[in-house]
Amino acid sequence: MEDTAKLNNLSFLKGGGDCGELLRNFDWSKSVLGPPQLWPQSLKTSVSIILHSKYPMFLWWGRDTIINIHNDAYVALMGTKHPYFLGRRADELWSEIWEENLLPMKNMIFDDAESIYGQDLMLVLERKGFREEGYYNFSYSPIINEYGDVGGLFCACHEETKKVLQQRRMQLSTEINSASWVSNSIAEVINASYKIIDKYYSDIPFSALYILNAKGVAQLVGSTAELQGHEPFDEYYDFSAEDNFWQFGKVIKSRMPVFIEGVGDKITRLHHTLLGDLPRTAVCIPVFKPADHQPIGIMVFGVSPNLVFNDEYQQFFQLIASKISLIMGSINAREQEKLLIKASEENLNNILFQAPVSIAIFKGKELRIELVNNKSLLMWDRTLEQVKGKTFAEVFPELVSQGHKEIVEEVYDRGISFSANESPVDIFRRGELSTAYFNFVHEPLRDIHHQIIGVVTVGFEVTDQVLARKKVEESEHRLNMALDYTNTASWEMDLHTKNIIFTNQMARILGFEKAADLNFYKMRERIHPDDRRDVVEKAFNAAMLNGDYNYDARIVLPDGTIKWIHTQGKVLFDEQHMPSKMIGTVKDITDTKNEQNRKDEFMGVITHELKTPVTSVKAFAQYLQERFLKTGDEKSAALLGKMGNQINKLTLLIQDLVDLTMIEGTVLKLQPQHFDFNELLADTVEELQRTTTKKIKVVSDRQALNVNADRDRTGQVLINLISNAIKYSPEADHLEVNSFSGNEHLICSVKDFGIGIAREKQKNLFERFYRVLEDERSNSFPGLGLGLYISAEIIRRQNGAIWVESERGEGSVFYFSLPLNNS
Amino acid sequence: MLKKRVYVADDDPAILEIITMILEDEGYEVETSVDGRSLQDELTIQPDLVLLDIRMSGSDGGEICRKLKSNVRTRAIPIILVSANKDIVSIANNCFANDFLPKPFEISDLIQLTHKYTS
Repeated sequence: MEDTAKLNNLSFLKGGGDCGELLRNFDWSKSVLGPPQLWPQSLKTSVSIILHSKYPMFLWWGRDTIINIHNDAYVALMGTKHPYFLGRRADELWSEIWEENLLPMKNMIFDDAESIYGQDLMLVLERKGFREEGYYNFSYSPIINEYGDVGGLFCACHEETKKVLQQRRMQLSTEINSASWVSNSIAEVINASYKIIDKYYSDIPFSALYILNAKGVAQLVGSTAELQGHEPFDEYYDFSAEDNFWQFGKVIKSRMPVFIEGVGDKITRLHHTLLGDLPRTAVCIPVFKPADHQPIGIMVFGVSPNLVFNDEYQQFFQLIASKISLIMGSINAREQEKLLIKASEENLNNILFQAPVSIAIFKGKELRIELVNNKSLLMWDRTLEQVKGKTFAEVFPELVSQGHKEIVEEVYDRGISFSANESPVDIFRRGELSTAYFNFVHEPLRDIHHQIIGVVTVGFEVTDQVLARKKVEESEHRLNMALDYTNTASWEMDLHTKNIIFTNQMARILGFEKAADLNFYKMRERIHPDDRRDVVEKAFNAAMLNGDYNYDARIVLPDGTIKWIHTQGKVLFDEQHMPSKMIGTVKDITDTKNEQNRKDEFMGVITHELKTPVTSVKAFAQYLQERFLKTGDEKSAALLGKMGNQINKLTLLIQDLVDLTMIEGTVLKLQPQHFDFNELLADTVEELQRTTTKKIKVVSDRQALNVNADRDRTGQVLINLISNAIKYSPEADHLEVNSFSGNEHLICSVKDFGIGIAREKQKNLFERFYRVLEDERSNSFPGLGLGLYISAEIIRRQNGAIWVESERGEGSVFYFSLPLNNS
Repeated sequence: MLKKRVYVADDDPAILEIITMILEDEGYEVETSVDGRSLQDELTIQPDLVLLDIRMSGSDGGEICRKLKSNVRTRAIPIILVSANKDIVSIANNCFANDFLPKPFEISDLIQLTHKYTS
């Protein structure tokens, strides 16, 4: 073949790769150029240069019919037009752009012999299996032939795709930067950024930005324009959903970009595309918070189908993602800064104008009011017009003589603040001069050079509090005097800590030198040993249950003197109904107690002395009655029997008085013994049945009702209740007594069918000297009114209860209960 | 049959009188005292029963009872306290009296108790 070329004088076509071979084998007989051996030397040289160059080059030859010859390096730029158009017409080769672009250029070169340089011209080549966006520089120059004319055109071209893309991407980044500076919020900057990205669809065919909100949900905050309206991206990305096409979970977890293939299924149309091709690939890039490098979102980028997805391209996406996060970070900081400034300004305003205290600024030596808040005006009872710009002396003429002006002036002159609490001020308000109390501070006000320029006064009125406290103090004083006078101390105790506070009478009553020596335990030590457990602790335990604290106890003073105190208190319960506090009084009742004891003694003597003559009268009467019976004087005997009955009544009355005395003096000593209550009931009823014609019906359990109680006293209660039932049911022919065992208690009831008791009188029934009947009928029902009181005391002191059910005119049922003892 | 002797001490002469009448009717020989002192001083003939008031002018029946009960020679004499004192039960216990009879009493109770401690 080389020999043939040499032989045919075609050495200029030697080499040149595929193109060289194609040219050598070309059928030139039909070409306007004719056989190569006959080509002018200028053409032969030019073709030789082209074929041996590694740079993409071509030449066009001929003025009217222009033939294209290119080299191997240029084949890539020719695409599918190679090899057909090698050695054929250039106007046919580039028919689609010939008239508009190439012909004028050809004319310039052929007619004017000028060179033209075409920079960064885009060419779409399919050299890599897809339509690739590429950029090239073209240099067109004339080829001068042997006659000095322009015989053809020479073109060398150079690929600038990398440079062009780099510049374009740089431009995008710069534009986003600039946009960020005019945006005031994150939403604004995202919006602006996407408007810019929209223009760069060649690099970013589509994009979306998700931000993780506080709940960890990814929310769509921005995307390229084409995506709005159809749904490749949901408003919220569900990390847990089955369809995790965009694989955000993987992105966040790996903190690395994730490539998504098959994007064409999701992105089915785009408004702007370079060549109409849709992206097949996307990349999801984590967006990190610059400060701590924590993921705050995900940015999705479509990869252009017309560009090679190389390192530079990927780095570009990452650059955009980190740029967006940086901008968001800085906007956040700016927003927060603004908020802080705004908040502090508002705070200042609030402090000044809505503060619950009066704030006023006096400026200059003459103390002119520069600023006051509403609270000040209210407090002073002055209007803004009356004070603004006026001097202290003009606003408060009445305070000048009270020395307040001098105080403020001194603060101004010496720069030392002045404060006062509950300072009395005679101030003119609401038409009159009255004394009010204020807490206030005068502070020197300095400028930035630390020079005093005025005085700030902050204050508030405490008149109500001071007056209220004075009242409390006064009433406390009075109370203390009263407590002193009555030898009473009041106290308050924290039940958890046993801390106790008390009035000063406490120490005196308990015989302590100083109040400081006193605490709960020392107070307890003062109690007489016999009373500590049986009285005080019992009362304390009862108080924890029912809230009332009440006892009389003896205390022993250091010198051995025994005194009596009466303590009365209440338990305060907390929200959980647990005892938390106790308040009360302690009173020295030694005198009262002594008096009581003397009274008890006196009553003891009285009753004893009364009983003595009654004893002999009774015995004489009975003796006489026996004698009359023996002599047969039955009438006299009957009269003496009646006398005996009257003496018995007198005896009962005296017995009541004795009992009362004992109960009052708390010396009613009960002597518990084990016995069967039903037996006592049967005995008592049998005895009483002899005194009345009314039938006493007894209904009781067959089993024994074992109790541990004072048998005689309990019998006394039964006698009292049954006698009352007889006494107060004059019309009835019977009454009923029941006894039965309840839950750990026995209950005994005495039912009559008599006059009954009005409801309002029932509550007082068990009080001493109380008699239900206060009308004229009362004379027909004798008695001191002590029976129920004594019965109630006897039952209560045996841990029982006593109560009544009654309606006026319907009769009454009296009940009492006693604890059963089955051990 | 030798009459049983009952010694009665009470500062109320009326009581002494009526008790004497009642017990003599029942066949007892009754000796009385307004203070009970003779019981301690000159106990020549021991009584079969002592009825003792507690509160007597110038002497305390409870105290007398305790002394008699702590004396070997007189310990066996039954003593019944007869009194209007409200604490009669506890006093009777404390001075080791055999029994007590609160005033005012039923004649039948007096006779029954007397029989009980003399038969």
